[in-house]
Amino acid sequence: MSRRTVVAFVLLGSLAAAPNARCPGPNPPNPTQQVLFVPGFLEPHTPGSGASEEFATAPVITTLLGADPDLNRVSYVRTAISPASGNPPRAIAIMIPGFLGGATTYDPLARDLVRRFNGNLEVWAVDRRPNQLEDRLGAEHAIAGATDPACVASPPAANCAISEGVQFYYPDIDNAPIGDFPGPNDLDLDLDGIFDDQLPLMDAFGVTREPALMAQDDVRFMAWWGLDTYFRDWKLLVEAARVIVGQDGLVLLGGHSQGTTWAATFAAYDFDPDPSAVAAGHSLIDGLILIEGGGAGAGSETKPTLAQYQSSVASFAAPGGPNVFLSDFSGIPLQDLGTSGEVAAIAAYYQPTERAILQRTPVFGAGLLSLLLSAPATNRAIAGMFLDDDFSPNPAFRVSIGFTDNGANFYQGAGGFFPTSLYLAQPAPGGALRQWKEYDDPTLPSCPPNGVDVSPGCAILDNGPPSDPGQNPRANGVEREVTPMNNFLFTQFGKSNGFEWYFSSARPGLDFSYGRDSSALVAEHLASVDPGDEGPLVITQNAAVDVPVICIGGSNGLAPEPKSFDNYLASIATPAADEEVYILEGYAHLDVLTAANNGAVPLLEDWINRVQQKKLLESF
Amino acid sequence: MAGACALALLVAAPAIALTIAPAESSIVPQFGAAESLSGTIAVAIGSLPLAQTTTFDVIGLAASASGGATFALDPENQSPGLGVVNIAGSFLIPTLFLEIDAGGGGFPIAIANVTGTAVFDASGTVLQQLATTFEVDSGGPAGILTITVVAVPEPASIMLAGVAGAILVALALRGGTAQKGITR
Repeated sequence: MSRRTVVAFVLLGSLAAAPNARCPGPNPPNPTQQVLFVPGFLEPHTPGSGASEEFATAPVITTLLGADPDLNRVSYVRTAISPASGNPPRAIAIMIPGFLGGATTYDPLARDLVRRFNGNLEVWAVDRRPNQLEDRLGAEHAIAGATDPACVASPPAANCAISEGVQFYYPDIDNAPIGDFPGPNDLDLDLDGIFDDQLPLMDAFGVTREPALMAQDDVRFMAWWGLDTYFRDWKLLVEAARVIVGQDGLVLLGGHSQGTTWAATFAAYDFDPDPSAVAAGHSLIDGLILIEGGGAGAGSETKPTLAQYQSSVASFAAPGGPNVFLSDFSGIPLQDLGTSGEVAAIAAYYQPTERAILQRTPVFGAGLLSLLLSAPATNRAIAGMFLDDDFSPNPAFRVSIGFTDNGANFYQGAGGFFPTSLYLAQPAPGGALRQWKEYDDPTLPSCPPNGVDVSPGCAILDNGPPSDPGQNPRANGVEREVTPMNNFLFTQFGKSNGFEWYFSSARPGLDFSYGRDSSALVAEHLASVDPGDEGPLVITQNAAVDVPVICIGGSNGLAPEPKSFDNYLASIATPAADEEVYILEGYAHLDVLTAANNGAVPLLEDWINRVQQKKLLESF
Repeated sequence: MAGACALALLVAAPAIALTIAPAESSIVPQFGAAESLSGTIAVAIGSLPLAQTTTFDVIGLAASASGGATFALDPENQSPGLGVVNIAGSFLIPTLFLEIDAGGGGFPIAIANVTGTAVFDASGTVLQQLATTFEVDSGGPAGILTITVVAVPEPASIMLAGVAGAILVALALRGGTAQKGITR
């Protein structure tokens, strides 16, 4: 039987319109969400391990987490409905975020799926280990007071908790304004006309302090936070999920974007270091969910030798060595993006039409981002101008959330710094703020009749036909505006957050260079170090992966065509009949997680039903 | 050829139409008066007679309670009633996706672990009765609803199933003869 491959625009045409026509029910099930911390893999170099290899805990970590913190923990956001029967769910989907992503990126999709299954499915969205190092005190302060009178006032009072939350991370700055932004004064976060320093806040230990922000040498133990450590964390979650659903139930592992690489490599991992035994990741799960990412690739052309591998790890661990977490992306400091992004999302949700506080932070009020996002905007508009598929400079951070057209939009074609074309919003006439039109605004401009390169341009663009055979996949089809801004904002704050401030890049980057097969490294370790131990990275089971796989891409995303998944699917043993590929026409990279009436939901629902039935045929 | 035809009949999983028996089918709320249920159910069973655990799919449902509420499969779900039945006739639908309309418009509800029994005739090819009892949290003042459904084949289905059973028996006999012929 051949693989099921569907470009799902026809299907979705009928499904997408339907849900709003129905009632939610007399008392619609409301999923609950909990952030759960459980013991993770006991990695010996990590603070709290108690092992002789344990690194000393940096003072900044103690400031954040208290004395004697244990960082060998794994955390996840559990989305569930507790049934009146008290029965456990039949299925649990464990989802791995993508590059720079946090657990709450799955928020809308998780809620939709759990609601549809009425709790008979749970979603556990995982936060990678470095998330526990994020000092979210400012964001938590902002959320706690977001509806207080000081914040509801327009303009907000200087003591609004949202402003205070931002001020926790940043002082006002008196940089010379760039162009007419934000002028005429300094970057005054709370708009009180006073040059304020950072605002210390009281934390859960009763200590009033400034942010506890990590430097590279504070977290050198991250040299051992590679795929082996992460996978052993997640294996514990998989085993915990199995206890809940039982042998007849389903434990599914999935990912979005780069999360598909993590999930697919987990499936290919051998957890038993004994070369005569195999404990493959795929044997622990019942299916793989790959969303907007092509799974595990072949890795680098030249793979590090064991000596090179060990040398790299040693250098990562040494003070002053290479960065262990990613410090910037495309010139944007990631720690700053993390600290500002969550509070900016809070401001966009609670103070949508106020002047964007994000533009008054040093992150967006100076440097590269101030050039890209120079038009004074509302809190909501700045979120759109940063991440909407028509305005974002990076296809990996795009979502279809509407448009702004109360000012000129400069069309920037692809090339140079910009991998794809985009609009650069210009200041609105008369000193007004750029406003944001929601995804379902009937006046969103389309091309045609508008011209793509004529202001204001278009929110809905026809990207043309798919690529020809032999060409790389490319964005195609007619774009759709599918994500409510609030759906996206909820992925950035709340129980957890949607951004990974300290993305562990060094060791996972080294590990990912082996792609889906580290057999040569294993062989070298067996031959030269220990014939009974396969070594530090054991990706040897990819060709044996035989679980059902569902792949969902967006035609305006990073996996825009069925062939985006071909390379990975051809590398595993799953029968073609158990490989399913769907492309949601018009969806951008993040829409597949955040869309209203999300076309991914019925696809996943149907697939889970069928995988469950197939499993029961063997066991009931 | 006869064997191939028999195989085709075994795997075709034809729809079996059933009538809900009102006298034996009911909705009993935790708080309030019980109501009777009537209507039809269609199921497709992977292969009969049951030789191993096989698919048991509810593919149609049009039921009404005496109080006026209606029950159907959730039209937004492509596989709302996938289940399995074992050789003993016990069936399990891990999640049954329904749409209920109590008068104010339909709303979706998924029900976990719907179990019951399927009773067949002596040939094992004719479904004689389907019975299930499960609970639904109404989310309203009625509290937990205990739903009992007993369904029997519609008269037309009985005739069709009888014919199909007779064909199966005949083909099996012919297949047996052919097998003997080959052996000989």
